[in-house]
Amino acid sequence: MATGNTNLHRAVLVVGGGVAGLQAAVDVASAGLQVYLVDRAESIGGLMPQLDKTFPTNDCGMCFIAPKEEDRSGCLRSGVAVWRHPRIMVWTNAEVQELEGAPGNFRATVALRPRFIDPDLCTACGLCAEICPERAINSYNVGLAQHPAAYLPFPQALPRVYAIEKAACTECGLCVEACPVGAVKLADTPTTRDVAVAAVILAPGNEVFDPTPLKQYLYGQHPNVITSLEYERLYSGTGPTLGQLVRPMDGRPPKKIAWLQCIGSRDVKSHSYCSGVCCMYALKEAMIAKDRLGAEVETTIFFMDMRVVGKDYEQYYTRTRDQYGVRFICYRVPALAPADHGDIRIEYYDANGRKQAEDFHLVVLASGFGVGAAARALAGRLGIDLNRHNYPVTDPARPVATSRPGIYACGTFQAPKDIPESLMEASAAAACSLLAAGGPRPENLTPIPPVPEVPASSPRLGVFFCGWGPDLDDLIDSAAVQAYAATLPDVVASAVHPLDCGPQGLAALAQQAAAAQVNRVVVAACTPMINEPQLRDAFQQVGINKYLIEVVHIRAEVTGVHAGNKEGATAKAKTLLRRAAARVRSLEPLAETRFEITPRALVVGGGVAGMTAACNLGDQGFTVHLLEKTEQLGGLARSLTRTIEGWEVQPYLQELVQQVMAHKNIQVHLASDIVSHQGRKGAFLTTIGSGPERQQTTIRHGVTILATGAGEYRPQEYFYGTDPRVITQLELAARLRDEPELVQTWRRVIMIQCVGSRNTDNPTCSRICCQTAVKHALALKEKNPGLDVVIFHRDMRMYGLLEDYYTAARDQKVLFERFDPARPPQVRKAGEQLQVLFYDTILQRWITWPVDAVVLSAALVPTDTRDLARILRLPQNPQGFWLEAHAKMRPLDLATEGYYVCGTAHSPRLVKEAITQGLAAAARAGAFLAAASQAINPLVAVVNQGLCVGCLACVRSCPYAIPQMDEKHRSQIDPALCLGCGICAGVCPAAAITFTHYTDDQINAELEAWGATE
Amino acid sequence: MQETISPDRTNPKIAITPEQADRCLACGTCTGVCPASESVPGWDARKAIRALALGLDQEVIDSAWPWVCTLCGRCEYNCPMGVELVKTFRACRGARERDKVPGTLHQGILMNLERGNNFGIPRDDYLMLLADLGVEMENDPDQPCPGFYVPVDKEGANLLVTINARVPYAEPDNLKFWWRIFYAAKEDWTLPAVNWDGVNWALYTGDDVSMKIGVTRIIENARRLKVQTILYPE
Repeated sequence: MATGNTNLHRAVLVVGGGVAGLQAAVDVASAGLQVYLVDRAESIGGLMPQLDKTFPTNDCGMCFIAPKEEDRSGCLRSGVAVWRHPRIMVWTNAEVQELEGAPGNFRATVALRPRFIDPDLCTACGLCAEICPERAINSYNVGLAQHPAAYLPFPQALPRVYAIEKAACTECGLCVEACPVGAVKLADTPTTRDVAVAAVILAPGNEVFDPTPLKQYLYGQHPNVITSLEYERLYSGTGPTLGQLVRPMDGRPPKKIAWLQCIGSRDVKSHSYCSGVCCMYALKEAMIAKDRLGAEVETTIFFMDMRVVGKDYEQYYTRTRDQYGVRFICYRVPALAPADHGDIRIEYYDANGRKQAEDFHLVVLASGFGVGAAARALAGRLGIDLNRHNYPVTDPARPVATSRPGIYACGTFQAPKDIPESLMEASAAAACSLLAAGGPRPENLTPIPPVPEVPASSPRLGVFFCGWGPDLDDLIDSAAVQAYAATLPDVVASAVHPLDCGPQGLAALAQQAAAAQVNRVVVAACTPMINEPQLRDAFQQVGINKYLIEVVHIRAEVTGVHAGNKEGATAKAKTLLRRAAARVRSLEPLAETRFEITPRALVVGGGVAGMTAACNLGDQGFTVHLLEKTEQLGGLARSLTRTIEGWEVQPYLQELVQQVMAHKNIQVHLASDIVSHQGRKGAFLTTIGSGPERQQTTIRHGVTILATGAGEYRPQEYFYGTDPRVITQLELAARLRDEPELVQTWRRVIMIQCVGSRNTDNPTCSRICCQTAVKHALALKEKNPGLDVVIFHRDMRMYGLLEDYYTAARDQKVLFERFDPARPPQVRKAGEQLQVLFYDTILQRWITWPVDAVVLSAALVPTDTRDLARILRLPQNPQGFWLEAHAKMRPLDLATEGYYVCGTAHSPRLVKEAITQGLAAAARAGAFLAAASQAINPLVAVVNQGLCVGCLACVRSCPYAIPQMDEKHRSQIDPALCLGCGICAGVCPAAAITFTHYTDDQINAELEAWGATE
Repeated sequence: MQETISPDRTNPKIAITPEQADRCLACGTCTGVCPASESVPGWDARKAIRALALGLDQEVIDSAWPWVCTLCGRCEYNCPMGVELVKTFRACRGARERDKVPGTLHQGILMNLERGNNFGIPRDDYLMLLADLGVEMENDPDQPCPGFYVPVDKEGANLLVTINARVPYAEPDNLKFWWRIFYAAKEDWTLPAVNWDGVNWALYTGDDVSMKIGVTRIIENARRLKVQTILYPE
């Protein structure tokens, strides 16, 4: 899809290898461009590998929901997908020194610090660390533990290469002698690399606030006061206590834990902004305490406002409170004091204003985010402007663009935010960079090798045992295992192979197998997570079908768990080999197939998000059909005047509409909706009906983007609809625009938050209403400075840098009144006068005022798309927002591939956030379309329609809604859509569904061999 | 239900700047660190600031809270929003009618305005006392200070020294402690003959006009006597 400008560098530089940088790198590389990924640390991953579980899913990432092996090993969290990607070059210990040139034609100089161990030679055997006599602080465990001066940053670190911390190293030379491959190079020196790129994506992340200077919180003075990041390490299986949640002082499990929010946030003396993530992680950490230590553990969160604004986060908060019994106290604890038995005393004022004192066993300081010195220096070197909080200056219309053209910012470096928002921004930055680099480039496809004929009657097995490992002979009798393997049926070749997992080692192994005319292979090695795909490819190269290979996990299942029992370990290895040999004998060769992708997109919804996605995809070179239900493009943004930053929305919107209408690659269908929809990712067929005549058009497209938008809830509360003085925020926006003289006559206006949100009918938080209220309060004050504005709220959720506007409103004398949902403000009528009656929780007094207008911050509710959901067969959450594949790691992809969601159809969000999501969806969809064709994984469920009785068990049990009933009421499963989880095969009562590669015969053969004896 | 009130938020008696009550988040930090919390029923720092934000200025002014508060400043030091509580509570003191200022503070201020010191010591008594104490110190049987005298209105001295009027009034001998230091250090110092009281009670009562008069008088002394440095032993 090149734009014709051949001078553009077809490469992008990504700075920072945390989740945002990794996501950006994957998106750009998937679109066919080269990526250089630079990270300051010794390994990629950023902050996330330190988090054992993340909100709101409380799992570690996407591996739970990605049944296919390639997706599992592509876990974004550990960076494997990036590490293995042929078009991503990763440099760790590296920093960008200089950047010259202009968008499309940058030249960057990258400085590489030495790691003193050659990454090309190191096999991560660990002998250097074992022998090293020196110790350094283990930063992965945030100072709770030490590691040798020669170390692997953490067990899953990528690159899987040791490093030497020079500050702790005495150059004793023991590691040099111990290294079997000569990888230790203590005299290693810095080097530089020059790269030519079209765009730069900055994702260097944030630093977690160090509370040491806040002496009143005893951090660093009392061992049982820890930071939230230390708490993360304490409950982690890879942490200093191996996952035992105990307090540092005495190793005893705490029975009473307190979290203090806003440490290093919302404080003019450190960071005045809100860090945006601490409320949610404190909820998660409190839940984990209950899960790990028992429900009787007392958990208390001291907070100012619980800011849980992400999709379905409010429900998570409710669950923490109502199901888990976490206690919440609205009070900012000013100081801690040591108490007896290593406890910490907290004095606070309760909801009734009474002073209380309690002793806690462990206190967790919920530390916030800040831009670190290195990231500030980087911004300085690259010449991008930073705001007063040291975050890049951005424009709401171009939320990921920095002040220097061609440089984009995403993740927490852009502004404080959580992982899903970081990932969306990363994809948005990828979308912008793609255009700077001339658009995606279709992949050069290597032909799929033909499936060899492998007669089932003459299996020839090769069994290869990995003989690598420094102490293997102490753990297992490998010679005996090999000798046993040779005796198994049909084994024609067996060897203890000095297997090294590099490409050459794998190629040599495959050659050895080919020489013996082997057609089925068992490899006994450590673990398949990282190298198994390459292992299979290596055999495929020599003509052995990659589905006729079975891997036994010797390290994970034998030597790693039976150390000290050599006899037992040897016996178990034999059993596992026997099982694997039986299985591999029963397997059938399988072929991957490909189908062509229709390089066109259908975008449903012509609001800001949909139009942004359409424009970017159009600019990438793809044909886009943009469907809009109404007669006019613009959506919800048509009711907006300006954003809280003061950015005028209408001129932007008009320009965007013109751009869409004039775009040569975009076809707009107004007054249209979807009549029918079929097909699968890459090859959809959709019929739309347009205009009053319902004229039908059929569109072929490869991806579908849902940007169906949202609208304002019509309140039933507070005389809305019966008294014209009671209006919604959108109606106030219209009054401010159209009737400014009316506003001049008002003396007091009240706003009431959470009308139609955070209640039993609608348990979600609408995210944007707090800032809307503040924005309108400031606008009212500007027009009528003497006006008294009172905002009644439950928590002012001015997340991230929005805090500045909250402060500005208070400086303008806007009064904020917190209310308890059990005692909301009452609007009453005394004759013709409207009055508000409320209870001030601080003074504990009832107050009443006459008011001229009541503004209701009504919920943002999704457009009713239930019919569309039925036609598309796509899931929605109970509130009607489209349901993404994984709330954390795949926020804009739907579980069914080929569908993406953006804008307020995903969840309530600001215009600039909708623009980000529109761009991000375009990046995700564009990368898919750029592949031109799609490989179909052969590990799928297959229906024998002759046996199917149409009972619908598969339809009901499939988590991805793939099985469909055909016209004869028999199940059919499209192999291109099946994700290969196998559930349907398990539940089918007629045994009509088999799961390829895991048929009953194959599993039975395996079980039989397992149960047999030597 | 308690009485319902309807305070006037639009007509504040305390000239509130953002740094006073409005920026407050009602987080409770001030009350938590305040040594005077719990000592005035119904009031603490947070409640007082909240009451001001709600327009209940007169209630705060009429309460004992601003006077029990010692203006120590812990609340302000810890406040995450930078609210200027000390300035605010002092303003509350100042807004009280003068005949309702606690104790003898306001009477002292009036006395000071009239006679130049809070206790109303007449000028002649004061000068006589200084002369007598100077002679006593020079001839002290235990620690004599040969050549010592109290330099009054000495032009061009290095230090202009002020006095807390309570000392000459109640414990005049205590004046000698500083004087002995000056003598030992061979300091070139002087005491003004008029307006010598260095204790400005108007600071505590929030009476800016009187405070300014008191301060101005001391500075006038320094200018008149061409002294560059003023010492407040208090």
